Amino acid sequence: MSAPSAPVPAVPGVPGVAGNAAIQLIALVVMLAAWEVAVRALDVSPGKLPPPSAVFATMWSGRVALAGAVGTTLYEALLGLAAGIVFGVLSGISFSRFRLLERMLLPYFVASQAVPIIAFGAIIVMWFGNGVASKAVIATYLSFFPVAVNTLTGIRRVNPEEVGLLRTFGAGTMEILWKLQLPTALPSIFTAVRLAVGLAMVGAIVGEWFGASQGLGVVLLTAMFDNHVEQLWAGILLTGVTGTALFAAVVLLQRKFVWWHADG
Amino acid sequence: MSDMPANKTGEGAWRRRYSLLWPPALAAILILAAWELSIWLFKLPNFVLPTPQEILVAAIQDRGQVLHDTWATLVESLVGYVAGSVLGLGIALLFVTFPRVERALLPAYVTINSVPMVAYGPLAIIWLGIGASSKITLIIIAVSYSILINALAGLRSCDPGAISLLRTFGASERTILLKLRLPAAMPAIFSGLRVAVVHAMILAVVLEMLGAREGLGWTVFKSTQMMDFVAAWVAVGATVIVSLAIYSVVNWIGHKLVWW
Repeated sequence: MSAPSAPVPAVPGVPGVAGNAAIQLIALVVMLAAWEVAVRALDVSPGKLPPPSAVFATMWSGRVALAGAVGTTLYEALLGLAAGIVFGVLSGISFSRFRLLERMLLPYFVASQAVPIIAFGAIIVMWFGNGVASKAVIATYLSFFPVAVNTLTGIRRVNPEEVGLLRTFGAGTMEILWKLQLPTALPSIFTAVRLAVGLAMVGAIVGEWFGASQGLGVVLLTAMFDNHVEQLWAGILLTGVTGTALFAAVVLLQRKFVWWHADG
Repeated sequence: MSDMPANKTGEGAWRRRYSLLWPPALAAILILAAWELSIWLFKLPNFVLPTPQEILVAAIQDRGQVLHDTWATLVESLVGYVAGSVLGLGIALLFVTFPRVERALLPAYVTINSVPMVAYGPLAIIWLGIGASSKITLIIIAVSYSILINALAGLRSCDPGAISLLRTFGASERTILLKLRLPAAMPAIFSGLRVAVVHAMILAVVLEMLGAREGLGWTVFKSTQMMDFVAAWVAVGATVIVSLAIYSVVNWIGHKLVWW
């Protein structure tokens, strides 16, 4: 019942996140250079594939609007992610407490991970309107399920004898939860959060497709309708950078808070 | 949770299955009841929330359209899924056989996939049109990536002692790959296949929402734009059912093939 594998576990055969980041950065630069050279050498029409220099020029001239778009999407994704984590952890805890609740609902939670629940996004936008709220709600429910499932599996990993021991020393339920169960579950919660970061970004962007005035999804969609390929690539690159930054932030937090657990 | 051996057969197995099934069934009944009750209590109009019967009736009435859309989405996702799986596995074997190729190409693959695949959607539509090929292409890229990463981890997971043992007996690199590494990688590959089938469905549906001529995602999008909310619910419901079905099939095949 482990969570679906994280988006990028790590490049096999390359040690450490820092090494990975360096290699990715080099790969990115090499790819951009090859792209630029290929487009110029093969004389590809910029309407099909613009050279990166043209994309960066578009980004620079539209920097204010694009920064606003990144800000909006990031805000929606973060808001949704935060709510998803809070509700996810709370329901994971309730599942671990109330066996019947778990047996009633967990099968649906697990099944939800095998289903494009993002399709409900259209209905969510219908309910919550064109503003930030509907996107945040989509990001919330997408990130909620993996966090709930992994919180439960994490808490289940606690040795019952340790709970018994703490109880003998007079620890209350809340204290056991706070000092033993949640810390034990933290690595597995973080695994889910890493997955949830990507889901929240996708939720925010797809939510914007159903109706919004600002955001990366809007940039992508209007560029598609205007056949503005430079703008489209600008949107793609910014989406990648924003998502990667968010993911990196989670990895850093994980290292700070789960220093005892060597997992990426 | 100590199961008696007798539970495997007859009445015991039935009772165990029953004890697993009744809580989710109860939850479903409670949810449906709450759904009906809230519509009745708050007098929700059907554009806010249609009743379950309304959705069911609409699904049966429009079954031709629903089946047509389901088929379109299913074809896109399965063609992309199968092609992407074969491609991903092929690239993984290539990388394992020629590590130098891996060092050159894997970072590029990872970079492309560090952008959520959904963001490439508008580009795919401009380049390849609103037909099935734009969906299938992106599904192939996404699926091949998740199979590649899982297969690489799996192919590298086997015991180095076993490899050197086979080598001592004069086994060729190809024999080692086919007889030892590939079987050892099967569980990892199958967990990749399980995750990837979900990705394939998600991408098919989401990209159809961007632009398509048919398919469940397209119907969801079109019906919300046309304020035909019951039709949107029908398409969302069909999406859920189809995804669960193909996920179960992949899961079942996985259990049959990787029994160890």
